[in-house]
Amino acid sequence: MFSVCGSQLESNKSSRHWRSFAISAASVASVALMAQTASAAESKSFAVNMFTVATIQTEENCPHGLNPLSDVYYERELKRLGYEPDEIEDLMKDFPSGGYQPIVINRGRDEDGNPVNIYAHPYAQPDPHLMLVEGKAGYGFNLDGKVSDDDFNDPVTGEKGIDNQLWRAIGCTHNYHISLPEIALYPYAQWDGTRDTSGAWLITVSGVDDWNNDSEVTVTFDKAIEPIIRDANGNTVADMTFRVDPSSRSTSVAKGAIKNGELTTEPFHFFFVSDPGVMPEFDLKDARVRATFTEDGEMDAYLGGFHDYMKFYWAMAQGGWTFEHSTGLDLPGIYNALKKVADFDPDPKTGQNRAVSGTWWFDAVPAYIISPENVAQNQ
Amino acid sequence: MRNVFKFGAKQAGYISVAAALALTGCAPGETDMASSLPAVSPDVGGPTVVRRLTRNQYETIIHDLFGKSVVVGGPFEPDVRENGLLAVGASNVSIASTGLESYTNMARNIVAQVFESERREMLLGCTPAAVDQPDDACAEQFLERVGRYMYRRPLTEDELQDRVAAANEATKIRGDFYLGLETSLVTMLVSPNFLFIHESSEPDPNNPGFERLDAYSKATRLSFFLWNNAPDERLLDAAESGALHTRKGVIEQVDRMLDSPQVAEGVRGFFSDMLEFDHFDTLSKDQVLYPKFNFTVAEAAQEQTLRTIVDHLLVKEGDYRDLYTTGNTFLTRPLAALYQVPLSSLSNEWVPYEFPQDAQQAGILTHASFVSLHSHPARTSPTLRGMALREVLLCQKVPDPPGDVDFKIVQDTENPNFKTVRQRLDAHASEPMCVGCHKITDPMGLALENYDTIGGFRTSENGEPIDTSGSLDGAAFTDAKGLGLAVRNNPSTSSCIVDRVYSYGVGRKPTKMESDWLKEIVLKDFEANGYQFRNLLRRVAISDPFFRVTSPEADESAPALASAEPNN
Amino acid sequence: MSVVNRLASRRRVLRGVMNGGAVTVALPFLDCFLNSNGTALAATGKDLPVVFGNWYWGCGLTPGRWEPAMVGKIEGDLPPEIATLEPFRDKLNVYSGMKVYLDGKPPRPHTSGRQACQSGHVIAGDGDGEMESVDSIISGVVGRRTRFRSLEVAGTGNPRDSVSRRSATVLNPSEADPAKLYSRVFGPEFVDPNAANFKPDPRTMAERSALTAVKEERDALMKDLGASDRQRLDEYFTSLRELEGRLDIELSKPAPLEACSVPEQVASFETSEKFYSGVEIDAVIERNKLFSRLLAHAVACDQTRVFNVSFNDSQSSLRKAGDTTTHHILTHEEAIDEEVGYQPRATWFFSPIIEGLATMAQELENIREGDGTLLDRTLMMASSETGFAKFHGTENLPLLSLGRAGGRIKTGIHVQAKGDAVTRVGLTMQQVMGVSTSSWGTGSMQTSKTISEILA
Repeated sequence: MFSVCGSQLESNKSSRHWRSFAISAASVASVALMAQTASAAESKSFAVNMFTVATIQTEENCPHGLNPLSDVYYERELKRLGYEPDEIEDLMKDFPSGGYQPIVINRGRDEDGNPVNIYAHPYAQPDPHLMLVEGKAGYGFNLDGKVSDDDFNDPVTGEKGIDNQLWRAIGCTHNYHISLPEIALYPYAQWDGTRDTSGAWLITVSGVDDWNNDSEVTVTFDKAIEPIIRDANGNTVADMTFRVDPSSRSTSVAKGAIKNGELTTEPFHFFFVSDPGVMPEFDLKDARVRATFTEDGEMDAYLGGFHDYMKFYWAMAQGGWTFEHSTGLDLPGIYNALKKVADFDPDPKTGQNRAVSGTWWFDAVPAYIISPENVAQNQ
Repeated sequence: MRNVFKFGAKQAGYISVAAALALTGCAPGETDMASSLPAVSPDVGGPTVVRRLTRNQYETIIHDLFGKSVVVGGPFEPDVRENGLLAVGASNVSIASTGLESYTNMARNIVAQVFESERREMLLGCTPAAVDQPDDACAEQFLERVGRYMYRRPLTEDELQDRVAAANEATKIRGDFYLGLETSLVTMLVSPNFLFIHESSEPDPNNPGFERLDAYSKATRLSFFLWNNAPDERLLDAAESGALHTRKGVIEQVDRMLDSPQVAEGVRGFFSDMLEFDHFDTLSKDQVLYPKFNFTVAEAAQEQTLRTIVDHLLVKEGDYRDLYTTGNTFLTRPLAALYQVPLSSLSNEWVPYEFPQDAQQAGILTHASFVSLHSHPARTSPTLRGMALREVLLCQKVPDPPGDVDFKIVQDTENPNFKTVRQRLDAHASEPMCVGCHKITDPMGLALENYDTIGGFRTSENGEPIDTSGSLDGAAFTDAKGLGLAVRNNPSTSSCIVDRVYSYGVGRKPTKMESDWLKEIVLKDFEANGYQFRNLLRRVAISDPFFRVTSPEADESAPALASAEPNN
Repeated sequence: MSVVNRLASRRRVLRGVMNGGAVTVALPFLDCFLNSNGTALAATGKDLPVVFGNWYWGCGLTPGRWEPAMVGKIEGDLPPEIATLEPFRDKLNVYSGMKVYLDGKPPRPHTSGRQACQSGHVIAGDGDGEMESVDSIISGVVGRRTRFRSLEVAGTGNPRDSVSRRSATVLNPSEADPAKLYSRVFGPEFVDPNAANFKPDPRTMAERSALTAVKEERDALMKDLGASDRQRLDEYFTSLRELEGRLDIELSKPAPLEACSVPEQVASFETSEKFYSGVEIDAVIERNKLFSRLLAHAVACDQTRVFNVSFNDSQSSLRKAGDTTTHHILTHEEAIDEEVGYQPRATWFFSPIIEGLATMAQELENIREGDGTLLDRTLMMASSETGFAKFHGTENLPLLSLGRAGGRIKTGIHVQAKGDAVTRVGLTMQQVMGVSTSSWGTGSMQTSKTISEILA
């Protein structure tokens, strides 16, 4: 484990975002000024406000249009299963309610032709062949170090060779066909619906001598005991104090550097226990972070890496029909798309790649954190 | 009963101790501090007042009478502030038609809750012989008991019988004993005997030719002063027995009240009034620019200040003036986020917090409750803050702006060269027409510019560092801390609180004689005793002037207003 | 004295059986409304009453942009700052050129002008109390027979924003929340004039009777008091009489009113989650809309014949969300744009203000009564507290009237009365509404010059 305790910075003369403290929970009544050593290493902490898949909408990305919404693909499935048009019309007439539900839920067929739950067995139907992203616009990082045909160009940095196959798989669905700073519907609903009750996501950037340029800094992710609190606009209140949850498994540390105000990290393992409604566990391998800081002291960042695609699939599929019909994300279609585009971690036996590259975006507001040792002491 | 009486020649100054002993009727052998109080000329006193209950008082009394879970509702006719206090404005308002309508609705809701099945046996103390019939004995017993609290004196026989008769008749009309009693109780809740705090005077046997408050009026004045509440059983008993007409009896009650935890409520009531917290009801902040400030935070801001005051004045028995320098306070997590300081607490728990030594804070002057209340919705206002400092804390009136200001001279505030408000208010400081008044407000407000409109700390505005230097009546300062110290040491700070405390207690501006006495005697006492607030409360509560009634000049000969009912 | 004796010796107010039987209300002032059975209001052949509305806003209008070019019949386009009143131009009068006379008293910004227009008296200083407002004088005459003598609302949701004043010590507070106004007027105590059955509420009956106990307390209370305290207690007892009057009305079957309909229930504007939105212009516009509709229905159902609307506060703290400044600050600090000749950002606020007035007029116009509308039997006086807000001007205060006052006035007229006191308008309004008065106002603002050009 780590700790970001130690020196605390006075707040009077510097600009207002210099404010991350790791303070002893026992001494909250006074924040003691500790003697500084020769190095003026500083740290800032943040609490994540919004977290989502990094999405961008361009015409070139989806030249053949977008994948259909659920009423269309359910009708398609009913047709494939042999229903007549008038039967389909009848089954779908009260969409989204209606008799079609059990049929589409169990539209998978086993070897003997028996119906099976399609969400549990997404392979049990023919590949719906989702349209994939064909253009070049995609956020992220060059994870494999190569520039290949199936790589993207990052809209912000312009960098080529961006690995973001997750984007390729889902980018041409209605749900994800939106550009940051607007947030895709499903990730927004997931995140917004859980952040009031789920421990906040904390980030600390420490060991910083110069916030414009420093070749050696540390970036630490933690989970808090407390959830965020909202302000009048529904956003995360800045400057709240959070206690790092010492019992969480969600601590990830990365080495990083700041160049001209932009923070980047070396590859690291990002593991974060999230809310089951979002993703039970984030388990990004070869993860990177790229972040900038606004005048108000807020953090604007991208997080990329490889993720076991089935975990991604299950995070969606656990919602079954409820998820599938309301988000317009054809689940077996997503499964097949992910399987097709997965680009890392080949199965030694089958050679099928098990992980897919992906990029997320988040913003975070300044926060104070209390280190886990100090929390543990007082519990 | 009041006599029309005339003053003897006004005595200048205060009389000798020997004469004083004779006048105050001290029993021999009293050795407490009270008997060594210099006596006060009997014409130091003022008229009685009739005050409308403030919203705060109304709610407190209902909760005391019928339980904290009773929902009082509203809306209340707005209280009016005069001479800095709602407690004084209360003696100059009546009840509008809409207001009485509202009181009636509130009363109906309150009594319905009171007579809900579970509660009613306990409150009633008796069960009617039959649920659908009048039961005068049971009704009388209840109404007499409740009436004494509500009218703050025993009901007269006529008043009681009228209410019993009303309950009787209402029971017949409504077919239910409890509903009938509800109706009768409603009439008491809307009665002027409840809604207005009356004071009656009577001849003072210890000072022939002069008047004093009658016993129940003394009880009422004491309890609203020290507890912001109607008199309790023991105080009413002390009134009934005549104990309140003795120095010893008064001291006993006052000391009992000051020792009680209820005195914290009294102190809160006083400071909520003085610090104008009622304005929070209609305070609005721009949600786009300052989303941290919401209803919960506004409530917490007031609570923070009141807790700080109670802790400092009553628990720590601190020096009143240090309220403007102390770095000790209480915070919740959301409030800490507002001030941008770290604080761990369980959700909205209150936790003691001490600002670091060198923090730019000035006690309650830099609390969110002060800086946010006296600011615009989306920007600060050094003028409003400076004015509040003068009027609220120093009791100094700032003149109204002249009606014909030529605003052409106010610089265009959109001018990008003017980055800070100090620069934008330059006209206030340089134009002869403006300087006179603005120099007594702006410099203080400008010292608080590190605090934005909701109380968040900042060191610069539009990229320009904030200059917080100035002076207050000759005491120079370079920052908010310095301002706090200047306020602490300003003689008006202590004379103001003495004046306000007394006004609050008597419900009006002090008369000239009272002001002189406050300045010569009470203030000096306050200073000599380390500016202790509890001591000040005691000093006022046991003083002769506090219960003394003198005639208001001139209006005894005014004809009674035509108050007969118009032809309907 | 025993209870029985006291029952016998008090004047009995109500007789009769509770459960829906005939109720005789033996109070003199309602006699003329009852037929011999006491079950219904008599004589509905009378004209529907004329209604008075007192519509108020802070910060005036820009001189030169609200006064029609010609005097007399209003022709052509309405001037820009009142253009939104176009649908009502035939029922509109504009009164320009009138001023406030201070007679050497200190001018109080955002106050003196209001006092002049509303009460005819500008206070001299501390100790000089404000006088009764014009709506109160009028409701004293026409408001005696309605459930509410008058209704007051504030677009800002602040009860202190009210110009309706009975006396120096009684300001009629404004309703802050449309939902509360709804439940006051159309809640459980509302007696629908068009309902088939009328059943007096036993609770109301019981209360009406029991309230005499409060009246009995009066003498003992008054005995000890000085003159000013006595006056304040008097004002309480006036309010008590009005309460009793209200209960009496709730106990009597009203005559059917064709145009009366209960409006839709209104949700509470302020919830506990929502912070006081106060003076944000969108919130004010919305509140004003809701209030306007409720007031129109209240008037159509004869719950009141006098209403007061304070669209914004006298100083006009109106603001736009996200803007650091307010209407008031802009009026002072914004430079006059040379090209257009006015302050663009400050003037922007006059649009929603006058639209707010148009909204009120429209709500009245929406209610058809016979061949006309409710607006035809209404007289609204619309006034502010200054001429040119930038300088707290006391010249040329904007004054308008809307509505035909039941045919008692001529409309569509621009009256220019340069140099006359603003009190001419208030005087004329009172006279049109039936107040028996020949002059109004104090000092140099005392006037007896009715605006005869508009009298029918």
